[in-house]
Amino acid sequence: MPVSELLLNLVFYIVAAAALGGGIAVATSKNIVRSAFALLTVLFSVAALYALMRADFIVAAQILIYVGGILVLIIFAIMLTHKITDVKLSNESSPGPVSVTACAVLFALIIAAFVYGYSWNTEPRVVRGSDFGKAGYGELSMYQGGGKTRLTPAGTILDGFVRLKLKLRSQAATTARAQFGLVKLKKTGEWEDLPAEKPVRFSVENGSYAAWTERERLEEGKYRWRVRLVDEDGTETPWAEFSAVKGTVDFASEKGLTRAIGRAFMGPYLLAFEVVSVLLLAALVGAAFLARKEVRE
Amino acid sequence: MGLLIADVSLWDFFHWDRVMASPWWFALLSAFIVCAIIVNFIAVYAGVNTLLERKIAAHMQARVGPYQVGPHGSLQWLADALKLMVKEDVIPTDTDKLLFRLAPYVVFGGSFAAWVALPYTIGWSPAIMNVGILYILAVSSAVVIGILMAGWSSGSKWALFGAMRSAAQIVSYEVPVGIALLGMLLIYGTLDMQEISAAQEKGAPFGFWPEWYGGMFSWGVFRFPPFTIFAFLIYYTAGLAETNRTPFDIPEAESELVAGYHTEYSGMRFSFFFLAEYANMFVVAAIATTFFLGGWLPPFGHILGTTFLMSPFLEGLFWFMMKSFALVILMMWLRWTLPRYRVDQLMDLCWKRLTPLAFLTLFAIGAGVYNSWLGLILGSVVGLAALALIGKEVISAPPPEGLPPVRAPVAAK
Repeated sequence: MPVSELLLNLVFYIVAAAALGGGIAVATSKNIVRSAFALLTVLFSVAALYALMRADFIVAAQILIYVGGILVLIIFAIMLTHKITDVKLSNESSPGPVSVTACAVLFALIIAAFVYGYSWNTEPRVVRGSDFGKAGYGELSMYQGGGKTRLTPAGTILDGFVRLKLKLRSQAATTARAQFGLVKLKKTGEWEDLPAEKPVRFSVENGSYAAWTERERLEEGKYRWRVRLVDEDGTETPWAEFSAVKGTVDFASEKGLTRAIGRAFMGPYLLAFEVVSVLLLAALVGAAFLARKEVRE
Repeated sequence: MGLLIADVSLWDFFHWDRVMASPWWFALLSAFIVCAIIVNFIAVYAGVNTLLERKIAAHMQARVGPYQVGPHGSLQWLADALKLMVKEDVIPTDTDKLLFRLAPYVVFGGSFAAWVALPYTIGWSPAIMNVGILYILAVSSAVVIGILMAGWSSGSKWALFGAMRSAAQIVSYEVPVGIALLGMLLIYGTLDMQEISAAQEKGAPFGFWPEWYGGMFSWGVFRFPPFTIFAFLIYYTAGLAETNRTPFDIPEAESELVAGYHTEYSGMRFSFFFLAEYANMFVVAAIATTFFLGGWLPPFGHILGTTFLMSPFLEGLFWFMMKSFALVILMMWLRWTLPRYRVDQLMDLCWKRLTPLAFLTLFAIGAGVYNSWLGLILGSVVGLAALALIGKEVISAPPPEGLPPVRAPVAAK
C-alpha cells in the first residue's frame, strides 16, 4: 500500500467541514455568545488546514493571535456588554431580494472561477515523458544558506542548500520519474555537466504532482539546472534547461520557514512591515480616543 | 515498539512525505498510541500529584494528611479517582447545556496539546516541530477560551467572576512569559525544543568559550548572569500565575468566589479541570526546564559518556522528568508558603514589575549576544547592584512579626 492519500483527503474533508460548519454556526446562531465560541472551531480548523499545507509557523501564529488574542477580546467585549443576550440579532430578519441576488451572483462567479479556471481531471491520466514539455514547469527553491545566496542573470551563485523542484501543472498521476542535473560554469561560455542525480518519484503536493531533489553545500560558483523525465521502460526525454532566473525563488523551504519569514520581514519587506505596524498604532490611538470620549459624556 | 514510536511522530502525520512513505493504518496507529500514552500518563501523574500535594501541605502544617487508604495513605489518589468517576454528574438548570458540557474538554484539550511538543528525551518528542515553543504557547491559549466558556455557561455569578479574573490574569501574564522566553531565544536562535535542549550541552557564561562542556554551567540559566537568572525567575513566577495557583489563585479564591469558574461542576467534568491544572503545571515546569535548566541534559558530564541507565534515551528521560518534577514540587511548596495576592497587587506585579524587568533582560541579553564583553560589563554592573539591593533589604528588614527581636543572651546573675 503505497500512499495514504485517502487518509489525508479524509482529514482535509473533516477539517474543511468543521471550518464550514463552524462558520455557519457563527452566522446563524441566535445567541451571540455561542457565535463567539463557534468562532473557535473555525479558527482551529483553518489552523489545521495550514498544518496540512505544512506552514507550521502560520499555524502557530494563527492560533496565537486569533484564538489567544482576538477571540478572547471578542468574548470579553460580549461578556462586558450590558444585557447582550437581550439584543435582537439581525440574522432573524429575512434578507431582501437585492442582497440575495448579489450573494448568488458572487457565489456563482467564485464557483465558475473554480470550475473553469482549473483543470479538474476526474480520470487520472498517465503522463508519458513525451508530454513533459506541455505539462510541467520548473521551480527552483533555495535554502537561505549563509545569507550570501543571490541570483544573477547568468545563473545562480550558491553557497548553501539548494532544492530543485519540478511541478506538473495537471493533476495527473505519472509513472515517470524526474532526473535532475546541474551544469556548472567553468570558464566564460564553457559549462561542465555535473553527474546527474538519481531519478526521483513524483508525489502529491498541494493538489499537483511534484518531484524534487536537494543538494547540500554546493561549491560557490555559477550554476544552471536542468531536468528530464525517465519512463518506466527507461526512455528518457531530452534535457530541459532552466536558467535560474526563470525559476522562482521560494522561501518556504522545510527547515527554515520561520527563519525565512524573519529574514523577509527584516529585509526586503521591512518598510511594508513597519507601515502595517503604524496602521495598527493608528487603530490603537483611535480606539483609545473613542473610549476616552465615551467616558467623558 | 520503541522504534515504532520513535520513527513516526504526530507531526509527521501532517507531513506529506512521511505519511506517503508509511501505510495509512501505521500513521493512524502511531498517532493513537502516542496520544494514549500521554493521556494516561497525565491521568496517573495528576492523581499522584494530588496525593503529593496533600501530603506536602499536611507536613508543612504539622499534620499527617491522608492516612487510611493503603500504607501511609499512598493509594488515596486511586480512591479519589474512583469516587470522581462514579459521582453523579450534576448540571444545574440555569446553564447553557452545550457549552457547559463542552468546556472541560476544551480546557483539557488545550493543556494536552502542549504535551505532545515537549522534549522528553534526547532526540525524541511525540512531535518534533521547528516552531515548538510557539506551538506550545499558542495551543495553551485554548485553555483561556475553555475557562471563559465554563464561567459563562454555568449561569452563576461566582463562576463568571472567576472566569473573567482567570482570563484577564492569563492574558496579562502571557506578556512577561513571552518576553522572558524571547530573550532566551536570542541565545539559542531556534524555536525547536529539541535544538534548544541540545544547545545547552556546551558553552560558557557570556558566550566566551562556545565549545566548553560545562555540565550545569552551560545551561541557559547561566548563559548571561544575572539576566538569564532574572528571566528564569520571571518565567517561573508568570508561569505560576498562568496556572492559576496560589499565590496567584484569585480566580478560584475560596473566600470570595466559592471555587471560581468550576463552581458548578461535579464528578468527572470537574476532574477534567483538575487534570488540566496539573497538566498545565507540568507544562510550565517542562518549558522552564528546557529553556533554563538544560532539558534532558545531566547536570554533570556528557549524556553519551555517563549512561548509568545504560541508554541515552532513558537517561535523558530521567533527567528531564527529575528537573520538571522538582519544579512542580517547588510550586506546591510555594502554594503552602505564600498568602494569596489581591487583584490590584496581581496586576501591579505583572505590568509594573515583571514586564519592565523582562524588557531589561531582553535588552541586556541582546547586547550580550551581540558582544560578550558588553554582556560581561552589563552583567557585572546590574548583578552587583542587585546584590547590593538584596543585601540592603536583608539587613534593614524588620524582624518578622510574632518572633522576638534577636538580642544577645542575658547572662544569668
